[in-house]
Amino acid sequence: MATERDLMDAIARIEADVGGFIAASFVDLESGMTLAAKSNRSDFDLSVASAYNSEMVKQKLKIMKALNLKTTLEDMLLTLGDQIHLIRMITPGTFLYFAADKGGTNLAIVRTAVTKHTTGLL
Amino acid sequence: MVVLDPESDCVVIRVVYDGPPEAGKTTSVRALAGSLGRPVFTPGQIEGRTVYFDWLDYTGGLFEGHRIRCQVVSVPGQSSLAPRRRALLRTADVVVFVADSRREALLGLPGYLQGLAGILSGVDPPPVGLVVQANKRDLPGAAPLDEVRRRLDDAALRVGIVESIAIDGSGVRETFVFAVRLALDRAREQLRSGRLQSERPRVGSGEELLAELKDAEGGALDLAAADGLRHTPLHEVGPSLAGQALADALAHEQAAPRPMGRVWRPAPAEEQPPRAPDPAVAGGLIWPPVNGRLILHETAGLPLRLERGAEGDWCGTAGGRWTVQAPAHAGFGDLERGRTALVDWARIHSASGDALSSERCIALAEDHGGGWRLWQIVREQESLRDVLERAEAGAPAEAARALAACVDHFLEAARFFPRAACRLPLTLAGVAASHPRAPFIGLMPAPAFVRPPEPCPEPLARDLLARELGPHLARLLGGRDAILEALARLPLHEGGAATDLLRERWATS
Repeated sequence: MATERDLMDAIARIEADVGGFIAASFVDLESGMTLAAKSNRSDFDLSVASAYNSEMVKQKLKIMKALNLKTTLEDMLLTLGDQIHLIRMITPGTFLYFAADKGGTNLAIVRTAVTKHTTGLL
Repeated sequence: MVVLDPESDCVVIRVVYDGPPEAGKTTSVRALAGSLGRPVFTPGQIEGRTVYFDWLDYTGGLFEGHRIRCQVVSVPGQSSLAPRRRALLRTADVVVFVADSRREALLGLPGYLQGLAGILSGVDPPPVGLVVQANKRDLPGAAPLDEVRRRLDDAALRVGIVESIAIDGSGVRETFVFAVRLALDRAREQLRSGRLQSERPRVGSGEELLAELKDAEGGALDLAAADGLRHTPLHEVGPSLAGQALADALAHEQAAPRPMGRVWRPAPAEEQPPRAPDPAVAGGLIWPPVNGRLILHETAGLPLRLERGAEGDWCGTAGGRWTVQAPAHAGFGDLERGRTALVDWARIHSASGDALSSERCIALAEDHGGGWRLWQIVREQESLRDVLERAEAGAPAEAARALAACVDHFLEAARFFPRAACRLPLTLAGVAASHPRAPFIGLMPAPAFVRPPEPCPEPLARDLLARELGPHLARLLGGRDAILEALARLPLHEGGAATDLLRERWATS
């Protein structure tokens, strides 16, 4: 089991690899509570974002059930006008939530960095 | 204590940090506050020691669409302030017990935890979860985790254990999130049973809690706080606190017997071991709700190798402490059918009451490929068969005592097992050796094979026992005369039943 410090280290490594980093958190899916979190913007409430994103992941899992899809959820990408949000499942009960400025990076870099620094973490 | 605050649309839960003096309660709460970026309110400290409590308020996460507001409170550890500690513990939805995990500090741990369990047993159901935060893992003399677990076994409590070094924050946030999950399991049970109140929490801030405590105490503890504050080693406070608390303890509510479950469709045969449940199993899919998650938390940290049984079940041992089994014919293609089966099976467990050992849980976990599977996890305990096998290698007097105890326990179990909600297999391997009421310690019948209980009259029980004892008596045949002689020396109420049975059995062999 990774400690909060391990998770913060992983966030720091992702931040170093990805331009336009806004915020990232490791989130407990069941409760929506953050296990580790870092935000570079005071107006970006990461606690609230993490909690509501946990609901979104749960809903997506329900949709997969309803569609009888016999597979697993790997990640979810959300493209906003000026931001990229990525949710990557780390374990069946934990996910990474990541947000970056669209102008500072691209989807390929984000996915590569997140995968590289979270594989085998938990 | 969990309430749904309509004003803020938050579910309000209270996480209470308990533990012996100087174990790291305040340090943990402060480390948590630092990690969450929240202030701590600590009224009336004396010489750096907590006199009332530490208070931390944090809102995060979601429960059934409502934000979760956590009131984190630590108690004072000094024995002179025990009434204050008890008052705070009685408001808990989950308790994080911060324990100094150095060997010398572990000595008094079981007594202290039993005292805590006594206090918590007075809280209205559902039960309050308990997480032990094994602290000071960085210090020389920190006991290995297995040793900490053995100490906790002595307290006969179901707890989750998380390691920490509170002084640098390691493990503190993980412990907190795990504790919140247990509190939410409790909240979910309250919601399900219609007992989740929608109202403003009685206490909304540290200042309000302070005022409430002062009102309740009427100044009675101020003198103790000012004058009697002193370092109290764990081994000194354990027994007295345990005694006080246990005197206040109340019996848990017992669920009423419910009807039997249905017979389920068989799962398709497969060779890949299924995915065993872990602590991330969703709320509502574990029974019992709080203690079940604690058991999953422990088993998830232990090595487990599952093997396919002859009956089609998957079974294994987690760390030599727990038997983990996925019964045959208990796989489901969709969640709702699995949940229905889980509820039916939980009702059977619940209605079986004391006939079953208490250290067990059942869960519905997602399997490979999107299916769902029922699991049962049962604590391994010494059985009558274990006792006999050990006695076979010992002296005749030891074998005589073991045989006498086995006969008594087995016949007691024959009287007791039919009180369960389903038929329990009566075997030497399934009856606990250490418990006076001889509960069933084996695996519950697979859901598809549940049958109604039947009375077991004594002649039938004696026949069953004779059959079960057969292989053991054959191995003990060489020492027959010495064993019978030793049995004759036991008081009649201890050895009488065994002597009759053995004489009869050996006479015919």
